[in-house]
Parts: sequence; C-alpha cells; structure tokens
Amino acid sequence: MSTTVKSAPIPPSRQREKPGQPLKWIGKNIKRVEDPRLLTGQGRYIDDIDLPNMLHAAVLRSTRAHARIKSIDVSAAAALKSVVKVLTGADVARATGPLPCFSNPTVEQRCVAVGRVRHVGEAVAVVVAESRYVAEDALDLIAVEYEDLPVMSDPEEAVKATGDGVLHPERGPTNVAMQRRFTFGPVEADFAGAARIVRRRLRWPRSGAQPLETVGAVAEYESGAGKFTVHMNSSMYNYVGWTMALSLGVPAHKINLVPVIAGGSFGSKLFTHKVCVLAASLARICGRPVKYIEDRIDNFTSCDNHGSDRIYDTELALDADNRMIGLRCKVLDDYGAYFQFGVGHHGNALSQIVGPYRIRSVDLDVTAVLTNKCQQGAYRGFGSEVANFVIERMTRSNSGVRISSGRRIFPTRSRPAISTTAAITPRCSTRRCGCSTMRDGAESRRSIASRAAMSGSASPPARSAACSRRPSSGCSTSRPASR
Amino acid sequence: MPSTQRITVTVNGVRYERSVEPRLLLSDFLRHELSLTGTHVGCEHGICGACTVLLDGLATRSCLCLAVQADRASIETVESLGRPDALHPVQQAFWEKHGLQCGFCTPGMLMCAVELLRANPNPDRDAIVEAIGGNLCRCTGYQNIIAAVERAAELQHAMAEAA
Repeated sequence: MSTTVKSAPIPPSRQREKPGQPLKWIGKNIKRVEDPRLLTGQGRYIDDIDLPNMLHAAVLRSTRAHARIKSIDVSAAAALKSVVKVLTGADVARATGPLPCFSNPTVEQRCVAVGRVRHVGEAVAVVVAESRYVAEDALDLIAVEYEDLPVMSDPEEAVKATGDGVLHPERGPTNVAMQRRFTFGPVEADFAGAARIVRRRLRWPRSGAQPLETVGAVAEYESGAGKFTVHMNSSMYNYVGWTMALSLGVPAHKINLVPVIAGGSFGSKLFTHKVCVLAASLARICGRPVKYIEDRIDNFTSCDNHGSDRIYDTELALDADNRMIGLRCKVLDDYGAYFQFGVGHHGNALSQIVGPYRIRSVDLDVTAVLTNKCQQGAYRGFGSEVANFVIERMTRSNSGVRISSGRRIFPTRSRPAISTTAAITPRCSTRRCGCSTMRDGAESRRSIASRAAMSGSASPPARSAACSRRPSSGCSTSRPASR
Repeated sequence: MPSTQRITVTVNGVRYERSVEPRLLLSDFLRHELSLTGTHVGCEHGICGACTVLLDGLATRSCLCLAVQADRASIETVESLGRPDALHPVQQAFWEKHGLQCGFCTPGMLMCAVELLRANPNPDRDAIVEAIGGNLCRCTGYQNIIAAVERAAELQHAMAEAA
C-alpha cells in the first residue's frame, strides 16, 4: 500500500487543443436551456404543485433536546374546523415503517418520533387540514407532556454516557454509532522513525446548507391500484424511490416519483425522506393528496443539511528534512441523533485524506457518536471538506517547524507553494496573487524556483496587479498568518 | 373561521376582487388565490427577499405584507415582465450573464432590478449592490447578478436607441 502513489505516476495530458487555439465551446458563454422558464416565474418548484382536493400538513416539533414523550393530547386540535387528521408518531408508525438508514446496525429514525424525542425540532405530531393556515393553528392546540432525559450536547461526554444518556438503548448501552480504523502504508514505522511529529487538535463545527427553498413533497395515493404519485424536490432520484418504498411497505414500482426543480440543495436535498415519506404516508391515511412543505424553522431544526461536526486529534510525521511522511488522525464525529449514511461521510474524507501532498502512510481512526442534535446529512463536501481543512492546517502548523516544499503531487501556479512557513511568517493575502511572499527571502526564492521547476516554466509566475510587493521587501499586503 | 374582508387589487394590469382573511399574506394571496406562483417564498419572515414584488412601484416583501394592506393597490410580479420566447431586457440580461442557478431567488432579484432601473437607468456598481442588498442568493455569489443588472441597463439603452 505504501508505494501506491509512487507506482501510479500521473499520465501525460491527453489534451489535443493547445491553449489559445480557436475552440468550438470552451471559453464561450453558453446560455442554459432552463433559464427562460425560471426567469419568467414558470419554474414549477415543489410549492407550485397544486393537486385537486389537496390537503396541507404542518408538523409540531419538539421543544426538548432529549425526552420521553409521556402523553400527547390532540383532542382540541382535532376538533378545530377544517382539520382533517391529527396524528402522533404512534399513529403514523401504524401505517409507515422507519426511515431508510445506511448504517449497520441500523439507527431507527421515524418521520414522526415515537415515544422519545432526541433533538429540538424533531417531529412530534402532524396536522392535516384544508389549509396550511388552519393546520398551523391546530399545532398550537396540541398538548405534549415530556419527561426530560440527560442531554448529550458534547460528543466527548456523549461517548461516555450510560443509562438514560444513551439515545438508542435498543442498539446497545453506548452512544458510539460507529468505530472504524483505516490504515494505509507503514504508519507505525513512519512514526517510530520520524524526526519530528507535529500534533494538533483541530475542531470543525457544524454548519448547514440553507438552500433558499426548503424541502417539500406533494403526494397522492390511489387506493385501488395501491400506487403513490409523489412530487418532490429531492436531488437524488436514483435511490429515493426504493428507499422510500421500504418505509411505506410497498414494492418500488408502486411509487411514481415526479421530480421538480430544486431551489438550491448544496447536498441537503440528497436525502429528503423525512418529508416525502411523511407526505406519502399522510396521503394514504387521509385518502386525499397531501402537500407538506418545510417552513424555514422546520428546515433549520430537522433538515438533512447539517454538516460535519468533528474533533481531529492529528499527528503529522516528518523526516529529517521536514518532509511529510505519515499522517495519523483520531476523529470524533458528532453525528447528531440519527445516522443516515454510516461510513459515507468518512469515506469521502478518506478518499482525499492526504490532499495534494505526498504522504506515504495514513492512519484514520473514526468514532461517530450520537448526540441530541439534528442528524448530519449530505452537506456539500459531504465530510471531505473537514479533511481538507485538517491537512491544510497541519501543513501550516504553528509549531515553528518548516515543513518542506516540493511535496505536492500536482504542481500549482495559482497558490503559494507549500513551503509552509506561513504559520510563522506573514504571507501575501492578496487575492489571486501568485507570489509566495515570505519574510524569509531565501525560503521564498526557493519555493518559487521549485514551483517553477514543477510547472515546467522557466520563470516564476507573474504576480497579480493587486500585489504591490516590492522586491525583497516582504509583501505589503501581508498579515499575521496565525489568524 | 375568521371573518373575511373584501379587497380589490390590480395585479399585472388585471383587476381582481376577492374576499380574504385579514391574516392572509400577500405572498400567499398571489400564489394561492391568483395562482401566480412566480413569486417565491423562501423564509416567510422578510430575510431572503425572494418574495419581492412591486407594490405601487416600490419593491416590497410580499411575505411581510397582508393582502388586505394591498387593497386598492397596483402590484407587479415577475409574471408581468416577459415570456420565455420574449424576455424582458432584465430577464435577458440575467440569462446572458448567468445571473441565476437554481432560480429560486431570481423573481425577487428581477423585481429589485426593475425598480432600480426605472429610477436610475445608469446605475453604478454601488447602486446595484444597494438595490439587491436585501435579497439573498445561495448559489451565484452575487457577482453574476451584479453583472446581469449592468447588462440589463445596456440592453435597455440599446432598445431605447433602436426605438
């Protein structure tokens, strides 16, 4: 494994067109075919779908991070005029199974919580009414009695939790959802023989996609044929259908998915099952088409767009020339209350764990822990953005060690070379500036030369006009790189 | 059921009389009562600007306005601008300059641009940034939207000269 990179040289470019030669499409502005309809308000997004006799759903969401649901009184809500159904998690569960989950053993998640809520914003009850306004009125009339349980908000505490602090006791007495270790190359030998080891604890907090359009679905059910038609704004129709079929307890061919344009996704509409399974389930229960569109609060608190939330304890082994030889990461990932993708997030991170650098051995030890937050989803880099952050922070370690240049697999002209003295010397912060300005002139020249050699160019790349660096004076746009 | 109130509004040149609940949002009135779904609702609380329409010529967030407040007013929505085969210059400019990706914020952006160009046919970059400053776009990074509004001003001048 350790020689994989060396034995797989990058093949020469197969590009036949030379730069500057007239091309048919490349370099030309091309207008998108879908724009005229989007520009004239005819995009037909999910909330623009309007079916005859359609009902509207609204969801009551948990105000507690971790609690047992002792009782739910829906009588006042159900008595409100124009309300068709008020359903608790238990009611929905009688007709619909758990949501799909790509982890083993599975972590059971339902479109409306049954017996226990595990994060603020988790669905507790749902109202179906003749209008969304009335459905939301009815939410205010539902009384829920909770019994609070210990809240796990810190992943390091959640790992150690026992008893009622365990979110899913049916899986076993621990909040650890997954623990996997991946090693490549001679990690032990590289660390044993390292001249220096740089260690850092790096934290990547949770973020979210926040597309302008939330997730929604409009479902209808033909009881005679047993078929569903579901309009939805997912961006992953390949598997949404059959995974949804599992939850609904029907063969996949009984579901006709009608894709609509998504008003932004950034990964967050990859896995929209909570919404589409709920809408389909309600359509089957009510015998009429049902529209459910998340409002902004629904989307914030219970969407699929929460990103990675990780603590990396990272070690980088350097040889006597300060060249990077080995990387070791112990990762604690705060997945939230449920676990959609299993190892998926870390598979993506692992596929680019060394970034653009030549590092011959890697040890990645991943622990995913369940906490009382909305579960992570497929946000953007889908876990890999964290790995990129980590490797870049490691190469710019503020340990005082100058990690050697010339370790990039791919030559670069647009970024400062990786002669990463940046942590201890200011570097140019001018956008698009090609200079690798360091206070240390010798280092700067060496890195420019090495980069020029790698890119096959005889002279260093031109600086951008914005950089006002005078020769041998240090860049005037420099800033402390420790920011 | 709350009582209703009779309103008369002119939307895109067409006069409508409707009985509506006093709490009905103007955005929902346009979308549900009149089936003008070009006006989008992103946040429902005045942050994103996707629902912007022109109310008596002024850019207004239709999610922060009740339908009854629009009684006797004249409203312009994105549907008033152009058709797919005959785009308004602002729409044409957004198409040419790739001023949209998912398109969800676009109706609000377009209406803000229309309001700006009526008052100021030669806006500089700062004026454009100010005009769209209340609208969120999560896809484009705004630069192409600014370029599109600059292009729209050019197209409008070219059309005026040709006329």
